[in-house]
Amino acid sequence: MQRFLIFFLFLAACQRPSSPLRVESGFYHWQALSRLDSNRIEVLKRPEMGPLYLRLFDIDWDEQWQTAIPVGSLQPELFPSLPDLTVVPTFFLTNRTFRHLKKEDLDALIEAMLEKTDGLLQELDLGQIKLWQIDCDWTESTRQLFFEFCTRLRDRLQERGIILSATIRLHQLKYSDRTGIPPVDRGTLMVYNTGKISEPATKNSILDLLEVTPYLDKSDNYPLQLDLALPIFAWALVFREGKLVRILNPLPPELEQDTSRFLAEEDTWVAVKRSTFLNGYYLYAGDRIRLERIAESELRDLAALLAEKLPAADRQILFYHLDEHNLEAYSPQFWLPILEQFQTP
Amino acid sequence: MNACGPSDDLGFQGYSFLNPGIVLSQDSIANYFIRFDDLMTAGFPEVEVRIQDNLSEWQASVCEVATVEDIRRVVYDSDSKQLSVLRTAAISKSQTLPLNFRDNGFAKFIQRNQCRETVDYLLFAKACEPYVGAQNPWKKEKRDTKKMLELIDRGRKEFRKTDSNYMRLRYTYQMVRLAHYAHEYDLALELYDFLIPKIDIPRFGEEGEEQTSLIYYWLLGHKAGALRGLGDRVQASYLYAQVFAHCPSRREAAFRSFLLRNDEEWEACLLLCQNDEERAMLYAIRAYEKDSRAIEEMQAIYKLDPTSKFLEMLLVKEIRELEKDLLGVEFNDNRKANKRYHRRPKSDAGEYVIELQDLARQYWEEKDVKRPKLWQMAEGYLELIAGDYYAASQTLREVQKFTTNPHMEEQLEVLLLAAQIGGFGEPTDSVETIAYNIRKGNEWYLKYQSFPDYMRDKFTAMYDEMKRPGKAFRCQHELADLRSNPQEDIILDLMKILQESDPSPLERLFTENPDGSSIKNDLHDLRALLYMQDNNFEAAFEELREIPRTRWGDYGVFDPFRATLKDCISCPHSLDSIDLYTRGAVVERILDLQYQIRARPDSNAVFYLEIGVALYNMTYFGHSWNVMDYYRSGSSWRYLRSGKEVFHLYGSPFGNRETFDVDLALYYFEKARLAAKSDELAAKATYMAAKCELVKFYQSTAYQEPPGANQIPYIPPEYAENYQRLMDYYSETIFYESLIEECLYFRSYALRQN
Repeated sequence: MQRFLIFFLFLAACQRPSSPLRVESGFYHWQALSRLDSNRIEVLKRPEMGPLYLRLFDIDWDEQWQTAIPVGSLQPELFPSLPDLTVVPTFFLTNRTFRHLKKEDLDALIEAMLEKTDGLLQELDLGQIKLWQIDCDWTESTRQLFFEFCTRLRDRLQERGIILSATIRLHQLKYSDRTGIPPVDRGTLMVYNTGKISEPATKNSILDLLEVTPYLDKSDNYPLQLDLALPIFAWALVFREGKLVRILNPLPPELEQDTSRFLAEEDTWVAVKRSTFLNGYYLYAGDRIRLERIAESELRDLAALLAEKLPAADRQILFYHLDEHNLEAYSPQFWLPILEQFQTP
Repeated sequence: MNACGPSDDLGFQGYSFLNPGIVLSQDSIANYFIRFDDLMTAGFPEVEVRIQDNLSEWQASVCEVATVEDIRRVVYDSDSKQLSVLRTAAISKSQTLPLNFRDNGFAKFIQRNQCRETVDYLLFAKACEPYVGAQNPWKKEKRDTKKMLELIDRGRKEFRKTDSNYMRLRYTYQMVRLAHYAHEYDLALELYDFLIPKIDIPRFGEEGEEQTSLIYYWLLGHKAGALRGLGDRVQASYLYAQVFAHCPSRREAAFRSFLLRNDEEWEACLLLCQNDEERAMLYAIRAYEKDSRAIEEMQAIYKLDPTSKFLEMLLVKEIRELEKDLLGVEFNDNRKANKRYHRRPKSDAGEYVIELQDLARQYWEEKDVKRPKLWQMAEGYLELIAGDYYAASQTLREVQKFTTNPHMEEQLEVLLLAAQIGGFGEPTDSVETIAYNIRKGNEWYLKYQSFPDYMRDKFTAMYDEMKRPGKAFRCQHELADLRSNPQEDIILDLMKILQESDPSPLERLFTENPDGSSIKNDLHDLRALLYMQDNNFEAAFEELREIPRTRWGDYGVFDPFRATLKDCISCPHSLDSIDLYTRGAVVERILDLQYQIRARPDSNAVFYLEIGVALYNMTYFGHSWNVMDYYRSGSSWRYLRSGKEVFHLYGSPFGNRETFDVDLALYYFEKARLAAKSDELAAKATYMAAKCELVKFYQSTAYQEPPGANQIPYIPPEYAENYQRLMDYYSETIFYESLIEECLYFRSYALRQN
């Protein structure tokens, strides 16, 4: 971890005067129940660090209540005080919420969001909030209501001097004429989950560079300023009789270490040798598990591709997501070249 | 024949012949297992079950004379003020019942029998409600721990004052629940351990079938929650398993809370079990997980207790999964959609069905299971599912010889029928006769809803194999489904059946409409339509002549020879019935006009024009489009430039064909103009030709939709030759004047040119 800190100091020192582009790095924190340990907090508090996109809660449609409700709220008691940290409250909204919600319910939802968020931020003892981000994989059928939600939320946030960002999927970038441009102040392009996760033939559903390239063709014309979210997570996908039955996230180390239960096969596949419980899920002998992670070289190639294809701009390079496993999977020397790719105009 | 066209519904489409309701006992846990799919998709209305079960227990334990509805009004719908008055009424004869309880049997019972303890408990439960009920999910959870602890103290006092075992149990439940929700887990366990020994846990029900109070299991669920809160997953899961086994109203919640993280915890939980039945329950819960491969758990349960009821439940669960994977998969007409949207069949299903067959055979051969014949029947059904219809029939008949249970007999008859249909080799006359008789009179065919689809799909596949497209089509569709895009091979195949001297009953069915009338005329009409779409009017007429002239009117009347300045699809047709033609008469008229053209070469312009008008009007763009088509979709307009003529249409297997071609009409208008002896006639012909040019422009890549819906598009010169001709040569005609007045497009064009 110490090497990691040194890297960021080095990064700050290495800002080339010839480069007018301001490139910040940052992380997503997505887990509700994960305790943010002091090591990670120290990293986040360094002055050269960019923001922490902190998922506060999801919003989902609830059949019992017949309304949109918050799900999986962050537990503030697991977080120490973070007054000096730049935090971006982040929310995942399910698409089905917008399938059920009515236009007349939007204002009430926004007010409830604001109130709950205020409460959580107060408990977290954070500094001033300047940006919110919403994450929703909207479709053509929900676009209208989602965009109306964005418009109204943006108006409410503007009253507080806060701007609104939305995540943009690759397909939403490429087919923006069909999917539309969300009425927000800026976007974050999510450059991961590019492959078909449930397809056994997929090599790595988190990232396949060949899949990414065609989606970037029209990025020049995209009207929103785009930050980038790059994957640094790893998971294991359990296939039974050819069907994806479970995602083990994060990737359990036993799959690669316990040879009494698991047998490494070709590529990134592991076979279950004998039936066993793993992280509360019962695996049967014969199950096959695809391990997915992003190698340093792949992330470097991805950064090079994005730097080449996207118009040069000030932007944030965000890594999804911050937990103890993901951070330690990458060497401290690895991050600098990635950010440098985007600093050259 | 009941048609069942392709469905746009993306739900799984397959068959099932296993009737779990008659295979399994009517046990609540069996129902839970076999309703697996429903639970996973629809959620389980456990809250309502909980209320109903609670009210039933109030009725059984306190007041059998009151209705459940009366008990509900007192227990759930009353407030503490009303309950206080009820309490006074229970101890003082001078106090009357509250107004809303005067006709309530439960309240009267409480008053009459002075059930003070009951009302005291209800008052206590009402006081607990705000701290244990569902809270607004948007508000931060506010459990007032101090108040909750005060209530627990009050509960302890009430407990001591109470004689009734049942009320003591309920007090304990309320106190443990309060402690659990207050996150005072140690207190919850302490209360449980201290109070439960002081209660003789009540049991209800008929003698010999008594069941422990459900409140005890609710209480156990909260104890499990407290253990889980303290990190003792093993103890908690063991208790959740007890709740799962004995308490339907908390079964789903217990299943979701059951969590063992590793093999060590699993083994520890097994060690907590008091007997093999409890151990079997743990395996059953593990196997209940979605996507489990339950053979492993079945083997474990079999070792513990071959007569365990869970074995049959898991067998049914696995068979239902395999039905989705393999039953009739070789002829299921939805197999592509099932593969695409549901990933069925799973890649190893073929191996798994053999494994399960082996298991079933082993179990019935060893005869240790409760019902060996059920397992033998399962083996037969699994052979059927695997597509070995002959072996399935043999096995099932073997079971049938020794079966006297009427439920099993029914199931065997159903499976044998499924094996018979699945095993049909070729659709010979005798097979068709058998199928016809099954359709008409087999009680199982009529009772089990999968049979019609199963039969249709099987015969469709056989007819496809035999290159009998008409028969294959009729297995799935009514003839009317062919109208939007008639297919010649289907029409000819069905005509072939009509020519047969001794058709089978099934073939006769194929050549009948739902009302029993013959489809003969309809086939000729459809074939004539095909010829007309090819502009082959002589052949069309020959087909139409096969229909008695008196029946031509059955297929509609039209007025395609009426020329209009503007095309209006939805405008009413001529009210003058003299102008209306049947389809046969339209073709006859066109053929007559073609004869007139040849017979009267000096004055044939008017005939050319009349044919052209009819041809134009019968296309997609004209008001009489329905002469040459049975279905016109307005949305096809959006795809004019796609070059396609056939479009998706819900319920239509071949889509919807539109007639966009105006070339022949344009040819006749050109001939009319050139042959015209008057400028008026030539102007009319030129204008109609211009209309043809305009729709050709719409179909060309040169056309770009204008940004405004009402904006008249710019027409490039190559598509405006006749507009220009009208301006250059016929501007002095009366027709031109009316055109300028009525036709916005032409007026706009003329203005742009000037």
